[in-house]
Amino acid sequence: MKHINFRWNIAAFFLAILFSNCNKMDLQPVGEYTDDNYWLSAANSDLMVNMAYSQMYSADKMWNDEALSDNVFEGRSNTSQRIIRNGNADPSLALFRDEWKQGYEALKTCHIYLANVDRVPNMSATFKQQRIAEIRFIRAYVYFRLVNFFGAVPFSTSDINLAESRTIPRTDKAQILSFIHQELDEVMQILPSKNNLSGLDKARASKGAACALQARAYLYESNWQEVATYTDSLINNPEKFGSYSLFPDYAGLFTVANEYNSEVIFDYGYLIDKKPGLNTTTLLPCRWARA
Amino acid sequence: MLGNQAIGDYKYITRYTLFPNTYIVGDSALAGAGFVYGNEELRWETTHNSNIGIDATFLHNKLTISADYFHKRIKDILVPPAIPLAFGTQLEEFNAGEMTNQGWELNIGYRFNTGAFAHSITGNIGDSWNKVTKFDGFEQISTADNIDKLTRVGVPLNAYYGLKTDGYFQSMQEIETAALPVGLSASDLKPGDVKYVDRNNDGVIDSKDRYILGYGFPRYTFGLTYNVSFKGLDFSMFWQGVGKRDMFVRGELVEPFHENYSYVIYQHQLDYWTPTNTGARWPRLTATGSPSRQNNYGRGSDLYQFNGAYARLKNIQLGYTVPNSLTQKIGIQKARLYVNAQNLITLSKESWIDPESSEFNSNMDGAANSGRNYPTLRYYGFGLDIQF
Repeated sequence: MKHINFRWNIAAFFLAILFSNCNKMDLQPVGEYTDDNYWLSAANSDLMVNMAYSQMYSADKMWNDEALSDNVFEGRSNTSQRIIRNGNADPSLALFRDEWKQGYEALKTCHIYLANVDRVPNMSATFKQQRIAEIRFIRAYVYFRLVNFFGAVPFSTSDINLAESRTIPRTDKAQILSFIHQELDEVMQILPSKNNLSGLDKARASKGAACALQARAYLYESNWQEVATYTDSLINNPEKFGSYSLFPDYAGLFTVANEYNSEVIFDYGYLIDKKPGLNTTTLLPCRWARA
Repeated sequence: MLGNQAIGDYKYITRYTLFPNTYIVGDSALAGAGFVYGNEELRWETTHNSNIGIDATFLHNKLTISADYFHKRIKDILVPPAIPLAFGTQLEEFNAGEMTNQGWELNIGYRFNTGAFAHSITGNIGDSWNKVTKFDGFEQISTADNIDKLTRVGVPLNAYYGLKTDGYFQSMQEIETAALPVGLSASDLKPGDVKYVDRNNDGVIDSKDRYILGYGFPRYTFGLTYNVSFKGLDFSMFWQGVGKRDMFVRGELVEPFHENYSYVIYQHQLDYWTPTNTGARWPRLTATGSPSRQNNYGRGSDLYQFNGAYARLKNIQLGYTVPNSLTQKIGIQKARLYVNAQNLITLSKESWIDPESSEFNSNMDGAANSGRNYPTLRYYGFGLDIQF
């Protein structure tokens, strides 16, 4: 009888340990950011804006887009761009998939930011408004790239979940373009003038960038009247958009020393040692190459 | 029933990760942040194993036979699911798959004597095959270089997927009447270029004409050990091989003058098509970047498919043990001299590649195989065993 009691005591002891451990189990990792703790600082939320800028465009995209035309020849390998230029592309070409994927990745970053920015405590209203306008500028830019490449594409102005992503239809290009125009009109009023951007903010979207993108979007639609309206507005309102002027030395326009010069409307940052892109040593202007 | 322990932590919650050098301003590189979606419905994978086997001995232990059959059903496999790219991010492992894996193995051993010779033979042969029985999103094509692999319900995991070749064009007339890859016209090609099968008969060769071409998983793996001893002499050899396997190889070993890899041509590629060698193994030689090159090597096809069956003499050894009566006089228990060799003979259809090279790791994934692995060494040795 004594033995049985003793065994029950042991069993009860282990059961107690088992259940006390269960209750204390920590379900959130302490060493990582999660949905619960990420959005608690304005600095963290700005990191998401940086990611959106990074996903919006890249040095690779600039060179590779040129390689679709006869401006640039990529001499090292049989790239997707060369296959397109030679007319040999079919729907399995990796670039088609990648452009689509990268566009929607950037859109997701924008939408996640827009959905969560209000959770960030102690963020001044004007600062928040400016960042939201930047994100909306980036979103308009990305949609513009997508409709130019694909025409009608799945369209949403907020984050979509997995189930929605399986059923979301394509929206007409014209409808998405009218959204882009409306967004750019709005953010143009909110974004700062170029003259008010200094230091690390120089690479951020400004009023002028939104106005110039608006003009380009109308240009691609052959809406000459609107192109003239927006470009005139940008040129003739330095007090609103900031002062732009032609840089005197054309060749110098592209050198590192003249970053953010007076002719630049939107300067997408690039540093080869910090963020290496395409190896440009294999690129040639087409007239030197035999394609 | 078993689980799988090779799964990372905290996959059930959304995590944010910081990345340095995300956006550049002037000389400064700003950090950025990304997120990995968690899956709250994450469950353990489960494996249902059933095995049946027999072990038997006959003829006074001279003949031993053992046979096994296994059937394994893996449910809720954690794999990244195929999701629409419009979702905007990849999902990590998800309980998205289900597959079965079954196979058998047979081991036979036989010992016998002929005169003063004592022989022993053991052989084993086994086969296993798998099939995807459920996959969220039905199918997924993963492409590494120009080799496509398909995961589709009803088909073994990572089946090779691509165009089927139909020999080489032998005349301009043949090119003019054939379906050609999208974007190419008859004037782009020459006799000796690859002709493809137009599976859907729409007059153009494109990604809709792909077939399931083969399976990279080895079938009928076997081994054979033979030992014989005669007085002081002993001899043994061990063979190992694969009875059936499709091997896809890309790169310079298949495509002569392959870009970015020294533009070389190997000896085994010399049997190429010419007007006087119309029955050649390989298509005609073409210039880098030419339309013919794009046609012949630009997309995954069975041109990259090779027979991966092989048998290899992994080890062979001949030894001689000096009789005890001699060695004990100088205080040695046993003295044995031997010579051996490893990987001495390889029987395979393709002499130019190690048949054991494969892109597949133990999880059946990996990029395309370019045969650039360090080759299996052929080893010769000799030795002396002395026991005091």
